[in-house]
Amino acid sequence: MQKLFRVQKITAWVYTVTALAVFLYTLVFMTEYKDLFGLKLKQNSQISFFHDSVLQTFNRQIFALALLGILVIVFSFFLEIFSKVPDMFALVALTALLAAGIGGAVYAITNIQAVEVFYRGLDFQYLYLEGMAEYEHKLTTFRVGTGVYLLQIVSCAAYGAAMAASHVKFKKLSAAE
Amino acid sequence: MRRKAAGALVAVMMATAVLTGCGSSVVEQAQEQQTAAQTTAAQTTAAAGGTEEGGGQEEVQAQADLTGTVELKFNYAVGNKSRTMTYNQESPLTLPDGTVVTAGMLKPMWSYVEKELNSKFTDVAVQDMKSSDMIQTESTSNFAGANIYGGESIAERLMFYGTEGKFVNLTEKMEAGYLPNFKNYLDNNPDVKSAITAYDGNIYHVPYIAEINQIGRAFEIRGPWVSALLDAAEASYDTDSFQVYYEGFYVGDNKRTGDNGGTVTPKEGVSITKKTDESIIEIQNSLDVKNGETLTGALIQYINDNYDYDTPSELYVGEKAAYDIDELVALMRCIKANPRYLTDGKADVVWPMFTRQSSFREELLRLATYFGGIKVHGADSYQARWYIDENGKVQYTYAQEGVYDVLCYLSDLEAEGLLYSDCYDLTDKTNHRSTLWGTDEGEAPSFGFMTYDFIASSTSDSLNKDTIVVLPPVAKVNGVWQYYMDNGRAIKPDGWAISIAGSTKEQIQRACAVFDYFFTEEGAVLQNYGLPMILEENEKYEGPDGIAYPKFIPWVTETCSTVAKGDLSTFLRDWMGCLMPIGYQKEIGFEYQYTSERGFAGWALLQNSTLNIATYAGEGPAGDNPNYYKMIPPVFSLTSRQKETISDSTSVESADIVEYMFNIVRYRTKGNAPQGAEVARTYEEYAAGFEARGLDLYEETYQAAYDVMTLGN
Repeated sequence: MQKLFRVQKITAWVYTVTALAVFLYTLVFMTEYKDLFGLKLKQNSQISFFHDSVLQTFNRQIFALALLGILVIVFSFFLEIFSKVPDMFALVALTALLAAGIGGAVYAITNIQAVEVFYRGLDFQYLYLEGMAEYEHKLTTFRVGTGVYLLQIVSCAAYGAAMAASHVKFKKLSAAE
Repeated sequence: MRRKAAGALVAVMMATAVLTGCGSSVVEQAQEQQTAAQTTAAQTTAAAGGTEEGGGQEEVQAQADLTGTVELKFNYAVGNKSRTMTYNQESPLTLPDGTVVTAGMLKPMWSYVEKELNSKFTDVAVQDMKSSDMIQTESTSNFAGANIYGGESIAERLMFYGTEGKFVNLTEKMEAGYLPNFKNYLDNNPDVKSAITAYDGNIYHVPYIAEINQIGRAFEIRGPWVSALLDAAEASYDTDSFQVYYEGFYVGDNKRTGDNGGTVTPKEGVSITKKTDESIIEIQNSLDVKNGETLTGALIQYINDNYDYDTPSELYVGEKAAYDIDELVALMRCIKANPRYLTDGKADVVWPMFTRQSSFREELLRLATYFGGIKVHGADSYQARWYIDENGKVQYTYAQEGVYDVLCYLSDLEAEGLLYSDCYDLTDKTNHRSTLWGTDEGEAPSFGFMTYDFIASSTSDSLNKDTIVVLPPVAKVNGVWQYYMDNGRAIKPDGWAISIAGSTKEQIQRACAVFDYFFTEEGAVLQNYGLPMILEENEKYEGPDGIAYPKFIPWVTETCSTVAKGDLSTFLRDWMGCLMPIGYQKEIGFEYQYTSERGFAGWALLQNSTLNIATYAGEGPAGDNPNYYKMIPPVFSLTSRQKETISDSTSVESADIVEYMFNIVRYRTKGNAPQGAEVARTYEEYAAGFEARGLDLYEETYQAAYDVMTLGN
């Protein structure tokens, strides 16, 4: 039981760090594309659309998902997951939230790919008209995002599994006594 | 408690699912949002009687309907209360029909338009406010204080604020059937359309269009001085010592002879041949004694040795004139060295070349054309510091090596006293042309010889009866020997636009009607000449170009003489309210009618010559650069990003750049620069000054803006 509880605590902390990383990622998500802000020319209207509509919309969405992840941390403290074996309510509630977190991460990864495909298809040849010569594709944010959300999926799954195992073991031990 | 918490969790999950828009990708969601936003905007515009289908037709009908009186507020500021819409003269003006116009009333032309368009005009401009200050001030209130904003040198601002949504999109209005006459004008004048189109492909202002494809300014001189110097049988020239600095342009490998300008054609069927490769500058410089007598004697001898004129003055005056820049400098030296002879002892100093005002000192730079066709201004405005090179790229003229060389030549001329020394000080507001040409008979006369200015005013009888127009120096321009003036009349950076925040739908419609009115035949005559009551009903005035123009009744010239010293342009602007530099195509016809006989002779001289000028079409003798004769647009429409780039990272547009250039003219040769004055001694030093001001980035930015214009949006 002690070992399972230690795993539960570790996965809870790993999840906490991951959720904070996801939250920070959403805060800096637009930074790499700040050059594309304020484009005015018709020739660059698709790039403006990409920046102002696609990226901004996506950023808002993943920010909301990141808040959900933070909510899981708050609930974890509220339900004393860091210091106790979860009861049925805590397990159900947090598992549901973690499942939503996994769904959100899958959504984010899928859309990062869609956004990247759109980004790669943009015509940057007229960017020089707005003072940006030789613009090069910037993919770091997408790469980092994919990694971060994969980590989120793993950490959510591990955290949920650890809580479930801990809860089941605790119930069994209690029943045996 | 736990059930409530569970409920909250489910709610959060559902909200998250909605926020993330499960089911479609974010790209698709963004596209749907954009489409929805565009549809909403279109519906809103249509509901407001905008330009979308359905609403457009109604608007055209509304525009034609002038039955209801609409009030329009104008903020037209030009920094001069005499030039606004309001009559600001101390004395009332009585019109031919007996109407009396007094201070505070609208000027007659605006009252007339007000009635014609069944509107109520209010001039809300601060009467002495400069255009740029007005725009700056009004931008803080989203231009809500008036319906129509206009002024001088604000086209770039009007375009910029138009793209920011502050001014009505006239392109949309034209597409909806508004401004049909203006649209027709633009269709017939694509160069104008292109020049006033903002970077987003739309037009937001109507410009003042000067007499495009006409000669801008010309060289005018005191004609009798040339014959007095060069043709007089027995002249008592001055003998005061004269010091030379200028070493000549057509010297060394560039000697003018043979293929290098040996024969030129000032007029069809007339060829003038320079017989030898002599340089008059070298001849004058080698004189042991240099004074009015020896310099002039050398020039006369040189002309007689090299040309077959009946009289030496014909090298400069008349239809066979074929002088080059060195021969002009040689003549200027003779002028400068003979002040007492030329003025009958009235003056000890005369000034061979001057500009009308110190603020026009850049006119001196137009001499650059005659030093091998160097480009300094790509259009009429001094701010037009670009030319288009053979690759279609814009080049910043002021930083070119050729311009630096010209500044050095001018410095030599300055050192010799050939350029009016008061021309450089911008704090000096004196009208130098009036001083140097208009005080001959005064108690303290001052004398000048030559300027580069508008023909009508420079040859006015009331100014000086001796001034005449001459052909420009002949030069190798764009690789071709020719007569050329790089100063055609241009689309001006002046104009007006309609405020969105300050206007109702009815006011926008009526403002469009006002704008369009000046492109109707009636409106164009009104702006160019004035009220129908001051024009002859059944008579036309035939100009030297053979075109019939509206003719003024005698009342105009009589009243103009009484109140405006015979300056018709000033009278029409300051008393009648015509010729306002906003929103119309100017005609040359009014100018012809106040041109003196000498002015007419000047027009005829230029029009009958082989003279070429810069135009928007850019046609001229084929040479090194196919774009050489092409004028650049009056303004470049810059995006906010480009404007930020220029203001944050460059200082090429700072006022000190012109001072930096004129420091070379004033001090380089004489070496008398005051403490703190920066004088570039070499081109490398000069170019470094521009590079330090961020020239590369500046050029890149303007190149991008030009590319947007030429891409056609």
